[in-house]
This record gives sequence, C-alpha cells and structure tokens, in this order.
Amino acid sequence: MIPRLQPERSKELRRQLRRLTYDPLTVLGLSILAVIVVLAVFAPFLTPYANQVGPYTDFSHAYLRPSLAHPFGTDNVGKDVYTQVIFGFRISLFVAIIVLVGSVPFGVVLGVAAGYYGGWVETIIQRVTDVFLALPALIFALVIAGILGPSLQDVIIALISIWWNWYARIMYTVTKSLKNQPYVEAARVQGAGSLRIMFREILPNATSTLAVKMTLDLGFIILIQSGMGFLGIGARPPTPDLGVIVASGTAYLGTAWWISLFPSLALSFLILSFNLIGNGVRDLFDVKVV
Amino acid sequence: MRFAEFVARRVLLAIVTLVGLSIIIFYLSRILPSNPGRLALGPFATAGQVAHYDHLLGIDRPLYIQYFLYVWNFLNGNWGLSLLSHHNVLSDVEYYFPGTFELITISIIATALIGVPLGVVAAAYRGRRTSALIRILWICGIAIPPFTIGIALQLMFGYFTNLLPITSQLSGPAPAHITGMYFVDSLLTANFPALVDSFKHLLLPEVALSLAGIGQIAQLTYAGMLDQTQEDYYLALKAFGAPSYPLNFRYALRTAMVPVLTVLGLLYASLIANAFLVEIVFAWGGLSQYAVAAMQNNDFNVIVATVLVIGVFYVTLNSLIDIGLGYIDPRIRLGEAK
Repeated sequence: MIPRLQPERSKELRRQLRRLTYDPLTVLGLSILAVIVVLAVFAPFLTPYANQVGPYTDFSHAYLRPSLAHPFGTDNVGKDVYTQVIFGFRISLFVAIIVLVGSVPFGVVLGVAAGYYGGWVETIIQRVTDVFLALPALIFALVIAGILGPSLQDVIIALISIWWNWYARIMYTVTKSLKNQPYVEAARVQGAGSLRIMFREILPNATSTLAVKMTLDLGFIILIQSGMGFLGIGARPPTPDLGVIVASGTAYLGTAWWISLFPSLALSFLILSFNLIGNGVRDLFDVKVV
Repeated sequence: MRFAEFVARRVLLAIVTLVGLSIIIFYLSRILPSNPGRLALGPFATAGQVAHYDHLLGIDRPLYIQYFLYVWNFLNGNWGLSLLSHHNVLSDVEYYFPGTFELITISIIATALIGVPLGVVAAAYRGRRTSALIRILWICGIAIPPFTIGIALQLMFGYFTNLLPITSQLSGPAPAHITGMYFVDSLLTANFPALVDSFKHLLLPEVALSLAGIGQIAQLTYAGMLDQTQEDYYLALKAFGAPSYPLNFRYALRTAMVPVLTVLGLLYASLIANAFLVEIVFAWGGLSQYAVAAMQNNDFNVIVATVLVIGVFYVTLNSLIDIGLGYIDPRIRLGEAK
C-alpha cells in the first residue's frame, strides 16, 4: 500500500491558511469580500426597496440625488441604485461560481488526460484548446452569448464553454511535468492503475495551482460578465447585473452621475477583493504556473 | 530543432488554429434559427421575397458547402453585405479598423514607455513601501474594469470640468486619408490643428485602456530587476566593485526585459478586447463598436468577418511572440522537439 499522508497535509494547509492572515492586503481583500457576501446573501433584508428589483418604474422618484433614503440615489426609472447594486452582487457571485463549477472539472479531466496519455489524445486536446484561445475571452464570450440570446443563462453557457480551456492547459502542463516524478513511478511499480495515478497521485499536487487560478478567475469572470452586460450582450435590463446598471446610467452622466458611478465602484471593489485574495494565496503557495 | 523548422511549425499551427476558429464561428453564426432574409428586408417583405433573398445569400444550401463558399469568398475579398446597413463588410472593416488599431497601438507604446521606467525607478527605491505601492497599482489596475475608469474620466474631465472631449475621434475636419488613423495621418501631412484635435480625443480613452497594463508592466519590471540583484553574477560583479549604472542597465534590466517583452506582446493582443469596452464608453467609432452593434443584431456576415479579423490579429501576434522567444531561448525550441 502507498502510505497515506492526508493528516499531515491538512495540518499543513491549516497552518498556511493562518499565514494568509498575516498579509495586510489579503486581509483587506477578505474583509471587502466578507462585506459584499453579507450584502448579497441578506440583500432582501438590507433594503426597504427589495420590491424594486426586476420590472418596476416610479417616475416620480427618478433621478433623485444620493441621500439618506437613497444612499446611491435613484436611477432613470426611479429605482433605488443601492438596492440594484446589492442584488447585482448576488448575480455576479452566482455567475462566477456557476461558471467555475461548470468548467473546472471538465477542463481538469481533459488536461490531465492530455498530459498523461500523450499521443493523439494530447494532439486533439491541444489543438482544440488552441482554437478556443484564438480570441480574447471577452470577445469569444460576446460572440457566443450574442448568438445564443439575451439572457443571463446564455452568458453562463458562453462563459462555461470557453473557460474550461485554461484549466485544461494548466493541468496539461502540470501533469506533463509530474508524470515522470519518482513518486509517480513508485505508484506505477506498485501496480496503481492509470486513473489512480492521474487523480490520486498527480491531481493532489496541483491543488494549490488550481486554488490560485480559481480565486483569481472569480474576479476575472465577474470582470468579463459585467463587460458583457455593459455592452448589452447577455443580461439585459431590468436584470440587476452590475454591468447592465452601469450601462443604463451612461446616458445620464451629465445630470445623474450616481447611476453609473456607484455600481462601477461596487463592481471594482468586488473584483479587487478576489484579486487581493488570489495574490495572497499565490504568494503563500509560491505558484508560478498561473 | 532548427530555427527554420520551429518557425514553420509555429506558422502551420497558427493556420490550423485559424481554420478551426473560422469553422466554429461560422457554424455558431449559422446554426441558430435566425431569419437573415427577414432581418435584411424588414417586416413588409413577402414570404417569397424573403425566400429569394435567403437563396441569394446561399443559406438554403448545406452548411459545409456554405462554409467552403464563405472561406473562398473571404480569401478573395468578398466578405458579403451587412444585413442591416447593406454596406460591403470588407470596406466597412477597412473603414473602422484603423481607429481601433491606432487606439491599441498607442496604448501599448505608452504602456511600455511608462510601465518600464516606473518599474526601474521603483527598483532603485526598493523597500517594503515601494513594493506595496507597485503591488497596489498593479492589482487595482487589473481589478477596475476599463469602462469604470472611462466613466470616471468622462465625469472628471468632461461633465464636471469640460477640459477634454469625451466622445469620438475628432471634432474638426479629418486630415487627408493615408492610413485612416487620424493621429498618424495628421502627423504625416503635418496638419497641426488635426494633430492637436486627435491628440485631445485620444487622451482619455488611452488612459482608460492603458492603466491596467502599466501597473502590470511596472510590477513585472520591478520584480525582474529585484530578482536579478539576487543572482550570482550580479553579486559577484558588485563585489568586484563594478559601477552600478552599467550593472543595473546593461545586465540586470536587459535580462529582466525578456518576460516584460513577452507580456507586452500578450497585452497588445488582448487590448483589442478591452478596446470593446473603452470604445463604447467614448463612442470611438472603431471596429469594436461596429462588431458590438452586429452582435446585438445578429448581423452574421459582420460578426464572422470582424471576429476573424480579430482572430488573425490575435493569433499572429501570439505566434510572433512564440517565435521571438524561441529565437532568444533555444531551450524553448528544443522543448518542442521532444
């Protein structure tokens, strides 16, 4: 039997996670994220205007400046901007998580297989990922979502269908560098099958790389998804997508700057938090591949 | 692997990739039940007229035949008509591309000219505080969406103060047409008023487009310079009393530049995506704005053509970077041979 090192590993992990809190920038990122998550999860209880999400108009309250009643003002149809923003956080976080859940396992399996088996499996997977990386992610996602149709669901499908490529690429590189390591040879000599080697010997050694990449990607997916909303391809009003809200205010910058400005800032803080955390995790694990 | 062989392989791979991309984009744009004939002719055309138009477009034929016809036509400069404006797509792209090309090219030059010195200066004043500053600049640059920066700039310099123009590429008359890039054309024709005009229009979009890259390049230069000062050769030369100027600039900076140049190349290619966002904010009227309008309206000839143009730009640049790296570092070429 191969000796199990799990308990050691988890103790080590806990120690490293504690070290994460020594870096002030990471702590800042975690704090911002904590606030945003609380706002998103408890959104309906944190605003008196939860009824204004979705189709709603009240022109008598349109273009109100930021005040105590409306901290971020109201928009061109009289909705409370702060309410739109905290519900927008929900959408951004939801999309980012769903996209990763939908794309990472697929990409990881393909990448490990390509790196482990080599030969024609490698060639096919490499060429296919080449094609999906032949355009910047935003543009590829725009094309797919533009063709599929104007809804949040189509944005998610578009993002999943391109996102697995990076994970396939990363796992391919990692697997190739690891598959001739002595401990993998040892497992093979002891009669471990291909599946066991790929997913019990090689994959656990890629967890830190994957963790860093996924943390940074949460920010990156939100950036791209909001960009799609901003361009009017993907989610459309009255979906409270942050990019959509920003776009809806650009026509009124001269008179009601708050409609665009506050959602933009909120969006920047959200992405910033993931980048700060991601960089902290990267330094912690000393990962180079990403 | 010999260098020529390496280059040939790269070029071949790029072509295979572009063929794959064209197949995916073409099938995607045709596979959904949209109704191009109806879109082009409007709600008052009869069913017969729509069917006739569809026949003219060739969309009643099998998809793979349509694809081969499309590629044949594309390579022969016949990119079809826009379903909405009925303009020739090729001449539209020729009209819109220079504005975007100018925007991203000036941006990458500015990124290099500001980012690299910033990193060098930071390395000279290295320390915990400098590290933190550079890091914050880098992370914020990546985190803030370009359209947010654009909107903030518009508010500051347009709506609140009226210092700079915040839309389009020019206010006054255009310079004589040479390249289609207004700044370059006004330089070439020594047209001073147009030069100032286009410069003013370029400023804000360029800032919105370049901030992220400047932070990234500064951080990379800074980290690279610091790494070099830990290397044995550096410490040895320093111990022998080598003067710091050539030591830092002839040796350390030069070695630190390899990853910086690579990232500059990758940035240049990916700027075209951020240009999509910045162009919309500033109503720039370039290729991106043209493509976005097409995507919003399912104008498939325009979508396929613009995406392929962007794909060619992106893949060519990425291949050139690979070839450049293979030229500098033979280990990369040998790695491919295995």
